[in-house]
Amino acid sequence: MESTIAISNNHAACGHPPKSDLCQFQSSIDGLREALNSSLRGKDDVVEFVLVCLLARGHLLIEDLPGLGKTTLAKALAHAVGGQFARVQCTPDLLPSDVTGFNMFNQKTREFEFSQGPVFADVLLADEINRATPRTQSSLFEAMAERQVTIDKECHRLPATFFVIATQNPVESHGAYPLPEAQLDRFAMKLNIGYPNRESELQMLADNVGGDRDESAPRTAVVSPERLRHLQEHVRCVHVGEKVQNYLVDLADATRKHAGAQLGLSPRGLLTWQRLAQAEAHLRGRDFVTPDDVQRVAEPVLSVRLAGDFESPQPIIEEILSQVSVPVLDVR
Amino acid sequence: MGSSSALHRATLLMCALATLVVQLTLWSAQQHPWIQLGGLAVALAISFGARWRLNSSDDGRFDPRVVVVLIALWLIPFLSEPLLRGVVGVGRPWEILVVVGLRNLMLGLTAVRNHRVCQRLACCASLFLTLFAFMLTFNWATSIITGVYSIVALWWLVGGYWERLSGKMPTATQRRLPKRATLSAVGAVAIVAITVGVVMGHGAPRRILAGFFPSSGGDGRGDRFATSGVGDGDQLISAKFDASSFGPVESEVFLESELPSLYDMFNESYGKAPKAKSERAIAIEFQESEDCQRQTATTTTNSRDFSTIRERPHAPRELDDRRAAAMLYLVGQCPTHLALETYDTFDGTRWSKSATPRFYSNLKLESVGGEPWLRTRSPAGQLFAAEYQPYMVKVINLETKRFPSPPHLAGVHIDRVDRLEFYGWTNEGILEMPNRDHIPQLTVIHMRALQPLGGRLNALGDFRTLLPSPKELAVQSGDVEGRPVALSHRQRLCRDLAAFYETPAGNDLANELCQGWISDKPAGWPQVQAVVEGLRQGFVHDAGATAPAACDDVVGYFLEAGRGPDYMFATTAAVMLREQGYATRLVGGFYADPRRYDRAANETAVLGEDVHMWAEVCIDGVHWVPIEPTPGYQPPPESLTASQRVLAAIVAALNWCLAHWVAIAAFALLTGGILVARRQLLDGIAWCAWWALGRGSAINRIRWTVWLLESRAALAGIARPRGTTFSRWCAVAANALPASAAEKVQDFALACDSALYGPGRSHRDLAGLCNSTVRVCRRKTFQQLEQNTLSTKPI
Repeated sequence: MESTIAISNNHAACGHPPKSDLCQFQSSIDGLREALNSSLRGKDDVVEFVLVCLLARGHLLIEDLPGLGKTTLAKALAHAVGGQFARVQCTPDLLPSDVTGFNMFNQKTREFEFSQGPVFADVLLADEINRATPRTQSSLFEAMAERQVTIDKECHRLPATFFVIATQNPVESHGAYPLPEAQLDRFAMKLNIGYPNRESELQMLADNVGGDRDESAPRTAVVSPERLRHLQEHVRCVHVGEKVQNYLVDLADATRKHAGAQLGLSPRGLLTWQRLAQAEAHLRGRDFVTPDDVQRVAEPVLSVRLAGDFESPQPIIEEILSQVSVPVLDVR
Repeated sequence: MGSSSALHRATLLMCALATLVVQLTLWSAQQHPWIQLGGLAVALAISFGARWRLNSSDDGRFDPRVVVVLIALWLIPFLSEPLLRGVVGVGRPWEILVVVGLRNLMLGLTAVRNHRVCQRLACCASLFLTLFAFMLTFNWATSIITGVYSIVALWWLVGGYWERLSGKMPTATQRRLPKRATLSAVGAVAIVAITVGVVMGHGAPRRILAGFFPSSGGDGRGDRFATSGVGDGDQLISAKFDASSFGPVESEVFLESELPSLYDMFNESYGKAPKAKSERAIAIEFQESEDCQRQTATTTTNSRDFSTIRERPHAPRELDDRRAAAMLYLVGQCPTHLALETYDTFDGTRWSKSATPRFYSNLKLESVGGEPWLRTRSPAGQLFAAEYQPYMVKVINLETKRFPSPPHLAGVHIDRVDRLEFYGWTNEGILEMPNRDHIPQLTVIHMRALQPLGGRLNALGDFRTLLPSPKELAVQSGDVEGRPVALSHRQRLCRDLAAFYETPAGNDLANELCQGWISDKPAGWPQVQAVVEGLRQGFVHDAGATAPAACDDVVGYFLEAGRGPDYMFATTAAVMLREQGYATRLVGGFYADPRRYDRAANETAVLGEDVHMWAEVCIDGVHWVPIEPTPGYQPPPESLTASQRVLAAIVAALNWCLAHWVAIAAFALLTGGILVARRQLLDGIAWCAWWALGRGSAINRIRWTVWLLESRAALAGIARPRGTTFSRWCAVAANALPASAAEKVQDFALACDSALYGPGRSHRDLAGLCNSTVRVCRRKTFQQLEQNTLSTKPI
């Protein structure tokens, strides 16, 4: 199942990408951005974070109210990358096999055949994930972290561009099963879409006049999964200097020592943060990461990982960012 | 061998051995074993408590709080010493405190030895302590411990080297001069040195260094807790531990010595009097037995005189050792005038004293606290403070039988001298030890004296009315001569005081000058003070400005010359006051100089060069109040109330300010100018540093330019918050700049990002970009930005 993509450029191993590659991928990125912006109006910043998350090969958790465009965003993304889109509406009676698939006995062949679940898609929307039982939630662990599922001792590889967008409703707490920290740590970001502004809503209404858009109509993919994979490999090679890495470690250390946070950043989270900063730098046309990139993605990265007795982690994140010195003149 | 844990154990062992040998040394010196043990226990508790609390992770990271603990450990002996001395009454000498502080520091470093620097410093400290103890105490125990220590230390050195070879140390080390710390340290030392130099004058380093190890001797300081050697401590001089030295203690036997007399010192200080006259003046003192039981001044010493015509004095002799330096030590108030001679009659060039006994103050022995005290004067009246002023004189090289007496001497005590015949009066009223050549060397004399209350002398009014009038004096003097009949108190007073009013003829100039000073002053002490102040302010003290041998009017010569030695000031003051009807006399003795006052010991070394002459004024026929007309010598202090002290301090401060108004004004102007223009100055310094150092590689240019911009912003009060990135900070700042300037700042921010965080590329014209950015972003540019323009909130 896994499609091995040959990386033609040597920079993937150890070097940083040349400037020409940045220009080469810019059209793809612009296409993705435009496709997402046309589906989710007035949310440029959210779209940017979704792109960052996509390029960093991370998974996305969206916490927001119903009807704000979560599914629209996920479907638009799936179409844009030219992959398969699947959706799972999580309920308490949802079983793990409903997500991953199961072996079914074929009466004709007298053999068990594997029936793929929705997880075998390029983009998976797990809607209201916190309404599924922990047992079902945990079925996504392996898929999200290792991009594979193991059923009856048999390992099934997922697409290389496998991307999960999960949503959860913060209002309804009755009958919800909060995601455990181990599950949250597998998401790269947590975003809030929020309500669009007035102009965006007016534009949305104007576009809707004349009948519903045919959702089943085929759309043109902006990038192929192979090209996306290539793009992701390219982003992984963006240069991260020693100063910036020290800065990242200082920030991670600060999250662990902060009195208000019971759970700080894990090493896996630190790696994710670096990948997201690389993607952010790439989106801004740079082949190296600056502390600005680290700070820009700090809030969505940390908000999914910091645990403690607080309503919102934002004040803690701001405090940490303001307290940890940005490396400018100091030599480490 | 070679493992870090083994080296740690070796360090522990070395420090334990060093601690042991130091303790043995301290015990052998009898330095209060229980105090030493207590101090060691406290140091151990703090050290290992700090290790437990601060280094529990044992990860080798240096905890800055360790520095605080180390400083505390070092300071413990110094902070506890005043408590021990004041409360318990035991103390340790300075060098022992330094050693104990170093031992504590070593223990602290040992406790945090997981840091490599601490481990090495602990070993260095243990080496110093072991060598110190070994050299200080050479016995079998210290020898064995030192030998063991040397073996362990050798093992430690080999182990450390082996560890480095075996790759336990970092494969490469980078030695870098800590520029900021070095500059800060040099700057701090320079500021302290300049401050000390300005405050304490040219001799500051010598005085400071002289007192660093006070018990090492030869520096003129004393420490009563010194142990041994050639120091000045009381325990040393009382030979408490080692009877190899001696000093002025009360248990010493009286010693005989051939040492310079008071009159040799007069000649050294003031120059010799002309020879023809000195034959008459320097008479061999003749002692005659007398009945001391009469308790009156009955000694029949021949008169001596003091010529105010003297040769120019030679340069003072260099005194090269402590024993030859001090005539005596005075413990008590400083400055103090110690009288030894008084003169009553002045003939224009020469002071002399009459042979007739003048004072009949009874001497009485009384027991005070079980000790025999000689009472020389009645208890205090309204003029004097109720409490006696205590003094203690340690006679060292002074050869005279007279007691160096502070003003208004009221009592004398010498340990175990409880017989009245050991005391007597001279004719002129100086207490002495009759029938002796001199007071034995190293005698300790306790004295107590009365001290006038502040302002009481001014309130006396015209005290001349209490004394015989000139007419009465003339009659009584005539009657007394040749009539050995019993005299009334008034008659005796007239007889005794007659000589103190006599003046030589031809004092017109002195009279005229004096009238100018006192004409607007009420009669009494204000007039006396006016004369004293007139002389102090209008004339210059010059020890070399002696009168010529042919001069027959020393006062007139002095008034015309405007300068002279102290005896001319005293003579002129006495003559002027006599002309105004005040009884005065000339007094010779010592001036306890406050420059030699040791505050810690409350002791002043009185040297041969402290010989001094002053005058005294009789206020009631009994009390003679000293006056100090010579500038540079402080007048005898009065007993002041708290409010008077405050007032005096304020007046003194104002006077000092008035006297130094030029320097103060210059300093204030300079300080004000620096304060006003401090930002410009610092900006200029920063720009110079950028211009000089911001060259060479791209990263160096970038770093110095960023530093300059941040410095300028900090000077403008809008420093970059530490959590805000430089490019974001520049972007926000650029929004408030003109378009051209903003573009340059943005370009520089991009170049900065690329140079600081990128893979090594640099801007094509980096030097030009840096220069243009510096030109655009001046300090005033930042000042124009509002305080909240540069958000402290990170992106």
